[in-house]
Amino acid sequence: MKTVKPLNTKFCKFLKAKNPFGTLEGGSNEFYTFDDANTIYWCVKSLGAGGPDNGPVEPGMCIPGRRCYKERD
Amino acid sequence: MEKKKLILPHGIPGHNLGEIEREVPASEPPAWPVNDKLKEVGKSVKRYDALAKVTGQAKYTADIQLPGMLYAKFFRSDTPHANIRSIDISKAEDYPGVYGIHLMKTDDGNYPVVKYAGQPLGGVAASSLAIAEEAIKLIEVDYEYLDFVVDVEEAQHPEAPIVHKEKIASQTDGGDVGVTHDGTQANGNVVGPSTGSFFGGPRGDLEQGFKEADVIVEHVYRTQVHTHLPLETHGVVVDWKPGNMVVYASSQNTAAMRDELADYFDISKGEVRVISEYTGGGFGAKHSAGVYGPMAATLSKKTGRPVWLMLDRKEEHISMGNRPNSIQYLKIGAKKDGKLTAIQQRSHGTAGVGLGAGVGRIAQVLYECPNFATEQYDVYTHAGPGAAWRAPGNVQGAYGVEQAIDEIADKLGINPLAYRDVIDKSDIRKVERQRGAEKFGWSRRKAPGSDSGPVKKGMGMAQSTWPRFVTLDSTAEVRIMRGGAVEIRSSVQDIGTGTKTVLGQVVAEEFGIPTEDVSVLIGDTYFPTGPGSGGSVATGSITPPARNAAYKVKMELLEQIAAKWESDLSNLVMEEGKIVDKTDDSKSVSFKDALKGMRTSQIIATASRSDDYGGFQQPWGLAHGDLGSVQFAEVTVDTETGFVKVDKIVAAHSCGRPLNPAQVESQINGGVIQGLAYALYEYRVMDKQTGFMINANVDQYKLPYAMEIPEIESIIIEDYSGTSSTDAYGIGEPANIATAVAIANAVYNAIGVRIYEIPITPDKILKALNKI
Repeated sequence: MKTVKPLNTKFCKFLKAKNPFGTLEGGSNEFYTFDDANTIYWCVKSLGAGGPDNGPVEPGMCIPGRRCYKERD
Repeated sequence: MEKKKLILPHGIPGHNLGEIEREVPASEPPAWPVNDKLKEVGKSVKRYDALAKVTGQAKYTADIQLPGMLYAKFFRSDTPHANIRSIDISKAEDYPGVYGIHLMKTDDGNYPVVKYAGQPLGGVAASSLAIAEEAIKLIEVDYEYLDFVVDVEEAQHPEAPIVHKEKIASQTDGGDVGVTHDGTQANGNVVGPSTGSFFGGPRGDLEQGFKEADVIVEHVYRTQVHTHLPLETHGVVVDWKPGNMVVYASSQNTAAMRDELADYFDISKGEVRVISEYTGGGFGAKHSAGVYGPMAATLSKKTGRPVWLMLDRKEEHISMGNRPNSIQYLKIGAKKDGKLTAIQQRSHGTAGVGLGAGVGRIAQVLYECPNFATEQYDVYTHAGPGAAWRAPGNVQGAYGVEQAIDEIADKLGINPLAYRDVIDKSDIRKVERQRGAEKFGWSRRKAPGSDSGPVKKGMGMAQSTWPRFVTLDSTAEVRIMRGGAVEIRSSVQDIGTGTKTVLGQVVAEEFGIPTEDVSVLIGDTYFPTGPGSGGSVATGSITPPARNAAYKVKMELLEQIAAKWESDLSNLVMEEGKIVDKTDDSKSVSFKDALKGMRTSQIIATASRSDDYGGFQQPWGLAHGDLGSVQFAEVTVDTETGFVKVDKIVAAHSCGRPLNPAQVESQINGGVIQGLAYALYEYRVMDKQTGFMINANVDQYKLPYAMEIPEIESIIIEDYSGTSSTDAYGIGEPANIATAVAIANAVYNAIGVRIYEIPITPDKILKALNKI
């Protein structure tokens, strides 16, 4: 088994995820997205799977350049 | 860090039990022997809260009553896809008893686009729930109705209405996820494929693997959308006070809920306190603050009063998460000797407006196969979002894989149980197969469809795997007090699994006192941060810190006593409610008297989850190995009516060191019953014409009644790995993965025809038998 490292991408501070193995990603936790096929994403600001701009919430989208993006503290 | 060596039990009693030497931090407690030699741990100690629960004294979130409290209700969309031109709340605001209304807005101040029927658009707080419901009827919405799609296959069509059609501003850097977006919509509603995970990506040469195969099985398997139905619905009571928001919550993760609320309101975590004394079940969708947490908090802030917001059963069905469906194409090849040569999987599933419908892990890891590839696609639909649901993706994936493996065994002329011995390298599952088959009476199994008469019996089995995960951000505090109290504190919550009780057992064992003498105060974020209760991580994450904290406290107490007695510390033992100097019979004191003589009024220690012994820990907390499970099912199928009755399930499981066998058995019972319901009854029905879920209740959305629940026999196998001071793991996920497919394999054995789609309803049986 390989050792995984957290992703370096500057994800939006409001992007959160629950991976299939019970742990949360995003916020003050690192992002791994090591099983993205079964990871659930949501936006803490819009409170759902659609973002504050109505767009989809997922790691590929919740990055710098998006209108509602907010950098992590 | 200073290290020491420990000799720990290793292996399976009655099979290969031995010992293993591990180098561990010097602060870790001595190794425990196997359960037989312990007093409290490994025993079916009665749950602390058993009496409170059965007598109704236990206060769940819905039971919380605070002075001046208001009752809130969500105002939801009544169409699956629309733009909102305006919302008029004037009549609702004027309704007597209404104290506050909050409407959700996008970042540009507009109303959000409606993307599923039942999407929350706002909330109303009133002096009673009935008033809130009446006021919601007075809210007028001017919709611009849009086309929608709720069917997973129709949504893949190029001309299908698009769920997330909003263009995202140009992104220049997708970072290590490698995805950038140029502002145009691509691939309609289809997202993916996901082809790999932490457990590996494609391997070998698929084409070559199928060329080498003597036998190939190739089918499409379908599983349904399965909604969340915890006994206690999602919800909170929020009392907003400046600088101190108190949230009573039905939660699987109090710490995560606190963090999210702090982020939402841009306040510090210290200003939010989440309390979850009792939670009435959770299967993966209660890890966040949801939309109900911030809504209740906003209404509380707005009105200056505490706000109660619990969802009803209909809301649970339509918006609080579900297990996504799947359409899985699966092709598996094997040689004459049974060895697998290739596995190809391609799946499409919908988590509604969200993502997470993959099914790949079981195909990827359950059996060794040199050539493997998976493509997992998410399909957006105008339906409520998916959520983690007890072993996400694994239950769906197992339904395909374990039927296909059975079919290969059939083609090779090998008993399916014996075939697993050929292709499965897991030691624990081998023992589970042996012990399970004996208890089940697998030797009674007859050839498929060989029963005479219209009512036929069948037997099947299936197996699964779940990784041993832990959450390293898990801390427990243990304190002893002069008055005799022994307390454990952590924010970890007990969602009905018995976390309180196993924590008490672990600390009681360390102190040599009865479990009932330990108080367990958990489910409160004012205590040290504990893990979430999901992924079967809670027990393995929080019991070692609890034991280690107790050990620190114990050593400090013993040092005080050794100084008083002028004894050598190494001669003092704490057992059977006493502390004694084993070299001098005259030196003995009861545990309670020892506490009275403490130098300070209390001794407190905290401990956090250590890395796994032996260096197997990964950065995010994956221990070595997996938790195996094997389940056997016996069914009766009436081939004239199509009804299936499950007569018996034997479930053989491992969870490391079982801390409380009765609680493990209870979890297995729950997992099996949910698996049975998934196999035969539960499924969400969406109306393609209106976009609504038409069985959002517990009548047409059928759950098993008591008479439909079979005899369930558990086999709990101790499986020592020497990875932590308790060596214990969870059982929540493993208990649920194999049941549905074991039942499907039993149905095949009964009628001689395979059913490739669940739930296995009477019409599917009759169709398979060409009777309708």
